Amino acid sequence: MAEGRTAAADGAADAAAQVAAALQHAGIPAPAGRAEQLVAAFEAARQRVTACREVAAADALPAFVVQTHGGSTR
Amino acid sequence: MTVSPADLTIGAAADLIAAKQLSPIDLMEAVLARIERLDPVLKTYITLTAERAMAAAKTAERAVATGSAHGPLSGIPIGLKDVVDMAGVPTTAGSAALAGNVPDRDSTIVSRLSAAGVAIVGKHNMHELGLGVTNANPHFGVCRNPWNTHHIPGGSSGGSAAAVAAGLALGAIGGDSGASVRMPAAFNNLAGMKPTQGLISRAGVFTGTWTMDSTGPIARTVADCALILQAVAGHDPADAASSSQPVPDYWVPLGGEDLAGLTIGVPDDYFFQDVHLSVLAAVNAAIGTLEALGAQVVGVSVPSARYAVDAGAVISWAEYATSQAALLRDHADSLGNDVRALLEVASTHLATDYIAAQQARMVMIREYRAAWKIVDAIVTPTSAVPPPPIGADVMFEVAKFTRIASLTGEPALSVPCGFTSDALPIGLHLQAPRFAEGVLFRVGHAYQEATDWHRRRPPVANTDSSRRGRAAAPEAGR
Repeated sequence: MAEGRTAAADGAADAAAQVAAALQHAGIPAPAGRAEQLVAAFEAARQRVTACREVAAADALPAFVVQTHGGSTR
Repeated sequence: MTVSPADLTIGAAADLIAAKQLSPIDLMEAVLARIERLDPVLKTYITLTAERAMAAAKTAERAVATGSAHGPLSGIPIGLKDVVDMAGVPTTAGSAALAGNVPDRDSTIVSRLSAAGVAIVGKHNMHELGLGVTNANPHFGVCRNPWNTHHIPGGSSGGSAAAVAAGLALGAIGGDSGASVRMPAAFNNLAGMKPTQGLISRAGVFTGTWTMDSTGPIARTVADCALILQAVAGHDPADAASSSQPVPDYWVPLGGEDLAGLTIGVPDDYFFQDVHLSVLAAVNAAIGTLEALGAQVVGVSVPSARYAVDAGAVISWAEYATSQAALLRDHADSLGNDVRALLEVASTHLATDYIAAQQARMVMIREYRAAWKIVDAIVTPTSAVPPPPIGADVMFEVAKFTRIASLTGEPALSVPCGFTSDALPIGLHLQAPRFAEGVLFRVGHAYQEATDWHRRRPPVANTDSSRRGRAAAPEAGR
């Protein structure tokens, strides 16, 4: 059990470190404790991206198609 | 029976004003009295513009008295989600961090509404920055659903929908990048439309996402939505993404009472699994009504729709993290905890994450384009669940069906279609090809002509103590 708790704590620390690194890379000031608070949201976001990558890989369409209505593009 | 003018539809009020049976000033006074009585609880307004609204009401009254030309929106009290600029009035987008943002010119929407004689009552409360569905706004108050004040009004245009439902405006302009007009409309027993991307100018409108932001009307009836859309739709050179498609007369499709010749698609199981039983029953009954009105109802396959939640969140929030980067950098401590966390996490997305989500979006666009070769509209529930209680952790289950139209850029309409056993409203969602707003108006209006869900008013609206400002209006729900 003690080993399990230690592994879990290590995993949480790793996840928080990853979030902190990502925030730093994005140029976001992250006060102490902020990365730990965001771990669950960060993981949910990764899962959403994974789902998108699976769809994209299965049917590799272009990401952007020029949609014209009256000359504008969006 | 007499009803308060605050409970009239726009169409009924316009008819009474034109017939000189209702004074626009009395109408405005009734709405302002309703605001004074109910808004301390409902928290639907961030800023009131009562003086400007009353001035418009007086102008409308003079026009009627002198026989001057005036349209159906002349003197009608309408509110704006607080993302739409009005000169001299703060545009906060529901955030204290933007309280000092006071535009010096009107948005195109406000210019067009003003030209139509609309009396703009004020700016509505919303989920902060439009980044959520509860409207539990930490800066301007927790907005409540007038059908049951322990429940959320939906969002992010929850203040707009709650205000219209309770008679604190007769209509509203909401904003929608995933659900934010349609889902609050459903949660408040109203009609709400997200039109085709580019149909309404975004000049002078707060930017959240560049590829999905839209504004749209919220009102008691589909016909009222058509009146509002008619006034604001159309090309605007001030918006580079504005459509130059000619705007049709949206009133024309409302003329027929049946749906003969239309084919309506009912999509895959995704839209009918994990759906609240009351919602399921109401939507299935509504589909039966559409069929009885003459529509051909057929199955249609759009399997990629189940990825809309994921792709929509990645695209929308990454764009938000970019458009609001300065706000996050300079005012993070002023943001609500949920919005701050969402922007922070979205800021860490890679470019390849965003592009993968755009590729998933293209799969959906392709499937829906194929569907439009078979059907004229697709019908689903607006939300999988009725309005959740305040404090519930909800985001995706209330918006998972509506996000699709935001990703495809197509128009969609929510129409009241029933109530749960504890009197919470349920919405029917209709989506159509680009620029087929007329089809949605035709289907929605015919459905409302055949049903009476939209005629019901929330209990809080029935307790006006004074008879002052009441009109001899035989039919509040018209």
